[in-house]
Amino acid sequence: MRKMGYLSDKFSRTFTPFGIVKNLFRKPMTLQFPYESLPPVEGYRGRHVLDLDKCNGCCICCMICPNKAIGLVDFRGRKYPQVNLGKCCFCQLCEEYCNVKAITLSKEAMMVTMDKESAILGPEALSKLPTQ
Amino acid sequence: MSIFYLIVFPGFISLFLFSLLCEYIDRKVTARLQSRVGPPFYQPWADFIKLISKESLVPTMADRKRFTAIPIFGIAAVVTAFIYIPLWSTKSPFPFTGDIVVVIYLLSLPTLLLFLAGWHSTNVFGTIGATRGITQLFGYEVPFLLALLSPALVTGIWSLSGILNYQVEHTWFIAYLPLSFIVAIISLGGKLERIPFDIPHAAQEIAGGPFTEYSGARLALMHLMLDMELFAGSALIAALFLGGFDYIGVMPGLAGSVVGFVVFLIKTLIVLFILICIKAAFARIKIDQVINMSLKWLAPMALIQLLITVGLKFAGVL
Amino acid sequence: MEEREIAFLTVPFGPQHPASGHFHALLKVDGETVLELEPHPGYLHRGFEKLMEYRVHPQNCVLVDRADVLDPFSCELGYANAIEKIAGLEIPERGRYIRTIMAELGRILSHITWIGVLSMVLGFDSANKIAWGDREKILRLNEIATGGRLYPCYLCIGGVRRDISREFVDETSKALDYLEGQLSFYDYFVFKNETFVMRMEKVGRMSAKEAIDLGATGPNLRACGIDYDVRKDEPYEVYPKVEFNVITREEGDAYARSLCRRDEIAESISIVRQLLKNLPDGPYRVELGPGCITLEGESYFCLESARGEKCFHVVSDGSPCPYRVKIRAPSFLHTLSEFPYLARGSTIADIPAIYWSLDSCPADMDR
Repeated sequence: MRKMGYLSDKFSRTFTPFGIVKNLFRKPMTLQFPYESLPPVEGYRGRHVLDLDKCNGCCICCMICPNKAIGLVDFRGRKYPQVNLGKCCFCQLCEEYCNVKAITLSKEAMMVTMDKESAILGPEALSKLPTQ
Repeated sequence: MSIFYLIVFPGFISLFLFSLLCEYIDRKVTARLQSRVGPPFYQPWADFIKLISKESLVPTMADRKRFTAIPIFGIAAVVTAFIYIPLWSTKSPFPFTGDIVVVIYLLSLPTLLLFLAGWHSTNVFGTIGATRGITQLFGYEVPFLLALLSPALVTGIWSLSGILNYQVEHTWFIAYLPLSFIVAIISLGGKLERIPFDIPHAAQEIAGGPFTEYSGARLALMHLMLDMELFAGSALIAALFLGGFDYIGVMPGLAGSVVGFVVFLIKTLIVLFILICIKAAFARIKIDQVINMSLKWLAPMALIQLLITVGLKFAGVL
Repeated sequence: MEEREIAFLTVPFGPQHPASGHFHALLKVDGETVLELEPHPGYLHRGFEKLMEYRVHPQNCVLVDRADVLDPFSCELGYANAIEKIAGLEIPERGRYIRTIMAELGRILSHITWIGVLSMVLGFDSANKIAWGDREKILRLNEIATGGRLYPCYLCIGGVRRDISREFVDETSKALDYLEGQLSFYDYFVFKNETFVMRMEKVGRMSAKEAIDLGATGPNLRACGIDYDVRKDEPYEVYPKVEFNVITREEGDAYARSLCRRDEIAESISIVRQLLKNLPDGPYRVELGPGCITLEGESYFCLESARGEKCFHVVSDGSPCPYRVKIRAPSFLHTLSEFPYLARGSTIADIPAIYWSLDSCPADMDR
C-alpha cells in the first residue's frame, strides 16, 4: 500500500510541472527598457543637486561622506562641493547632515558615462536641475 | 538532379535554414513559457555570424586537424540522415530497403563525436563531459531503438517510404503505438542532451563539458550540428508516427507536394513543441538517475507496447 | 604491504563559475565520486571589519549592508542594535515596528533569491527566471521605502531614517498577496517537481548531533529537528508581540532544508501582515543631538538573518570610531565546516546541490 502511495506521488509529481504551459497565455513579466519602464519613486536616491545660494561652504558633507567622494573647489569666489559620482555610494548622508539643505539627492538615475572624468561633477554641473 | 537534392533541397542549404528556424522557435517558446519575451527571429543567424567572425583557439596539446574535423563529420552525418526522410511524398530522394536503420545509426554519430571532442580537449571538464555523454548513450539508446523500430517490427516493412505508404493506406502509427511515441520523444530529448538530460554539458557544474575548449567557427559548427540533429530527429518522429506529409484529402501534382511539405513542417513543429515543454518543466537529473530511468521505465514501456501491438496483430484485431 | 594508488582528478569549482557564486574550492574526484573538498575562502575579502575601525558610526551604518549582499537589512539591524545597546537608547515603537517589517521583507527577498540560484545550478532554468522576476516585487518595495533597491541604507542608530508612506503600506499588501499566490506555484512547480526531488532528497544528510558539532544555525539546523530560532529564544525588536511558528523538519537532507526555507517565506508573510495591521503612530527616530556619537563600552548582539545566526560584537573606547567590530557570519561555518564534511563521498553532480542548499553567501563568508 505504501508502495502504491509512493508511485502515485511520483506520477503526479511528473505531470503537474506541465502546468507552466499556462504562462503562454499571459503577458510576459519583462519590461522592455527603454521603451517601457517603471516610473521612479519619490525619494529615490539619485544624482545630487546643489543650491548655490544656500550653500555656505561649511564642508560637513565632505567630512561625513563615507567614501570621500565630495571635495571642495573654488567657484565664483566661494567654496562649493564637487562630487565624484564614481566613488559615491548614494547613501544620502550628505543631505541628512547638511544644516541648510543645500545639497539634495534627486530622482535622476541615468548617469552612465564612458569616461571617468565626466563622472566628477563640479558645482556648476551639480546646480543644474535634472531633466527627468 | 541528385546534386540538387544533396545540396539545395532537402540537403544542406535547406536543412541549415530549417535548423536555424527550429532554434528560434525553441528559444522563443521556452522564453514565453518562462514569462519572458525571448529573442527576435534573426537571433540564431546573428549568433552564427558572430561566432564565425571570432578567433578560434585550439589547445596546444590537442590535434588541430582532428579538432576541426569533428563538427564537420557531425554535420555530414546529420545531413546524410536527413535526406532519407520522405518530406513531401511517400518517396524520399534515395529510398532503399533498410534505410530506417541507416538513419538511426547516422543520428547516433553526433554523440560519439561529442565524446571525441571532449576527450581531445585535454581539459578536465572535457573529459568528465565526454565520459558522461557515453554513459548516457548506454541509457537512452535502448528505448530509442525499441521505440523507433517498432513500426518496422509491427508491419514487417523496413524502409521509410514503405512505412509511410502503410500509414497513408491505414491510420497513422500513433494510433497503434501511442506509448512508443512518448518513449521516442523522451529518448530523443536524451540523445539531443536537452534538459532534463543535459548532464554531459552541464554548464553549471563543469562549465561546458565537451564544448569547453571550442571557440569561434568551430563552436558555430558544433551548435549547427546540434540544431540540425534537433530538426532531423523531430522530422524522423513525425514521419514515423504522425504520418509525415499525410493529411485529409491528398491532392496530386506539384501543389499537393507543396501542401504536403507544409503539413510535414507543422507536424515536426508539434513534436518540437512537446520537446520544448519537457525542457521548460524539469530540472537536470544525475547520470545514474538517467540510466535508472531509461532502463527501468522507458525500455519496458516500449517493450510492453510492442508486445501488445504484435499480439493484437496476431489475434487478427489490427 | 602494498598500497593501491587511486588516480584522481583535481577539478576546480569556481570562483569564475556559474554555480559557485564567488567561492573557490578544489575537488579531488575519482570518476564521479568526490574524495575530498578543499575550500579556499577569501575571494571577496575586503577587510570589512578593519575598515569599519576608520569610520564613524553613521558612516558604518550605511556601509555595513555590503557585508551580506543578499540580506542587507540584517546587517544594518545588527550594527544599529549593538550600538544602541552600548548607548542605552530607547527606540520609539513605530521605529521598532518599521525595522521588524523591513527585516522580514529582507528575509523573504533572500529566500526567493535562494530559490532562483538553487534552480539555476540544478539546471532548472524556468524556476530561475521566474524567481528573479518575483524578486522585483520586493525590490520595488525597497525602492518606495528607502530610495534604493539593493542597498537600503535605511536603519540607522536611533530608528529609521525616513517614515514609511501610505503608498508603501498599500504596495506591500499587494506584493504579499502576489507572493502568496506565487508560493503555491512554487509548490507544484519546484518543490513537488519530480526532478527537483530526485536531485535533493537524501543528499547532504546531517544528523542533529553532527549539525551542532559543525556549527550550523538557521534553517540548516532546524531541518535536522532542533528547535532553535533567535527570534524566539532571545527576542529582539518587536518579535515578542507577533505570533509565528518555528519551522523544523526531521530528515536533515537538502530537501528538508529547502522545505524549511519555503515555509519560512510563508511565516514571514504572515508576520509582516500582523505588523502592518498593528502599526502604531508616533516618532520613528530618536534625535541624537549635534556632534559625533562617542561611546564607551562593549556589546554583543545576536539576530536571526536569513542564513542563520548573525552576531555583532562591538567594542568602543570613547572615540567616534569603534575600536573593534566583529561580525559572526553564519555563512563562514556553513561553507568551511559543513560543506567539506557533507561533500565527502558524494558525486560531482551533488556538489552544487549541497552547496546551495546550505545557502551561503560568499560576501557574508569573506566580509
